[in-house]
Amino acid sequence: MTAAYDAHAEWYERLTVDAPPYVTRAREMLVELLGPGADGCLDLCCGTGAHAATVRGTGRAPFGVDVSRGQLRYAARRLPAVVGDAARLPIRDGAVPAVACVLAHTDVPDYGAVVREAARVLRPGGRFAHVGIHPCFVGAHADRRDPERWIIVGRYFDRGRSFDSWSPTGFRNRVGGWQVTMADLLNAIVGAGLRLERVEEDGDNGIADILGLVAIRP
Amino acid sequence: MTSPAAYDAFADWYEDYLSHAAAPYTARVQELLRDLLGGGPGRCLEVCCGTGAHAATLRELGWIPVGVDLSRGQLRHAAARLPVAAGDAAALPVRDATVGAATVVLGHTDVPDYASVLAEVGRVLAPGGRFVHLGVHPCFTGAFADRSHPSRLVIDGRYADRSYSFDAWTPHGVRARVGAWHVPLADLLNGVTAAGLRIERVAESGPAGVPDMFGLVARRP
Repeated sequence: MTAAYDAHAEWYERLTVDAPPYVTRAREMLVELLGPGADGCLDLCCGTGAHAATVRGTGRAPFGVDVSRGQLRYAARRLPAVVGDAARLPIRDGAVPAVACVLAHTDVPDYGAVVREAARVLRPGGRFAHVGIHPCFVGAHADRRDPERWIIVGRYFDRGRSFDSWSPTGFRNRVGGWQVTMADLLNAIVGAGLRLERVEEDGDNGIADILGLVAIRP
Repeated sequence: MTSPAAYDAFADWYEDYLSHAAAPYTARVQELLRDLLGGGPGRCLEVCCGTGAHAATLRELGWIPVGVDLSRGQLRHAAARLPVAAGDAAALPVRDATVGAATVVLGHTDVPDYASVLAEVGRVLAPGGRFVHLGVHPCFTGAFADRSHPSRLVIDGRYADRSYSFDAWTPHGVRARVGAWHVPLADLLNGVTAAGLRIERVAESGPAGVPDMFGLVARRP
């Protein structure tokens, strides 16, 4: 398994430590969706552990899994974390009270498999909080150069990995990103047997660039 | 009746529009409806049935369609296609837990408060009953979306604006004539879950690589 982020760990660390407004908004949404809690929370695809403090702020004890050893070097200071494939978690069935997956769903080749694993390790009544780029308005199909008028081109249904980006300083042209359509994302949740409870969208100019949701394992 | 029936003045135009100018679109709507709803038997309540344009599709699937719409002008056309009643979708003239299936097809942008319509659907569905929502895609169709070029849309900040609008990139469609409400994607999904319905599957469809239609099937537990 190659870890796309190994070569970009230092760049990503600097980016999130600076906490650009986008990352701050994603963290605020995570807090809202997770709600207060007291138990453990799996930080799925934890990367550098950039959101560990946010999870801790809800009262939960975060622990992480990520495939990138380069990223985990940074994460080690922030939360207990192990190397592992998000689609084959080294965790027992029904053992976890909550799972958070933040800004990661476009980094894995099969998010449906990751959500199924999240559902497997969640205990009954456990919460799955997802926060990610908005599938409709962010991706290789969206040109956001003009902040007031985004151009959507006819490749929304192209589900492969792409490095194409309108911005030379973003994630996709550096690390690449998988396209997960809105239907694929929602079907991944309900297909894993999770019950969708609430969805949120956020943006700073009226168009939503972040979409989050919380779902419950029945 | 809580609001005037916007479609009364456009009933004849709409009847013609669906079967002629919008025929390829209507065909895709019916294909998606078949895929999401699946087969009967039982009664299927068509909420916001309009001219009854989808009654034949429901019947093909083995359902017995019955319709409710606010617009008596539209119901004149519908009466030839299915049993109908004039009524407000947000206060359905139907008893609790009595229908096996319900649909809202191309209706959600025609009502001022879709969440209250969904709550009514949740009320009238029998336990285990199926609900299909099918409508314009909340993210790619609306006053905020210029679709002049089908594979190069321009989206602006009015995505967050939930108000009624006649603004449209084309003078030939529904919005420029009848107007439409905008329901952002999160509002739509939260309306379904708040009505106590469990989403089972979601589908998107569209030509030229950008979806223009969004549908889902949900079940009353």
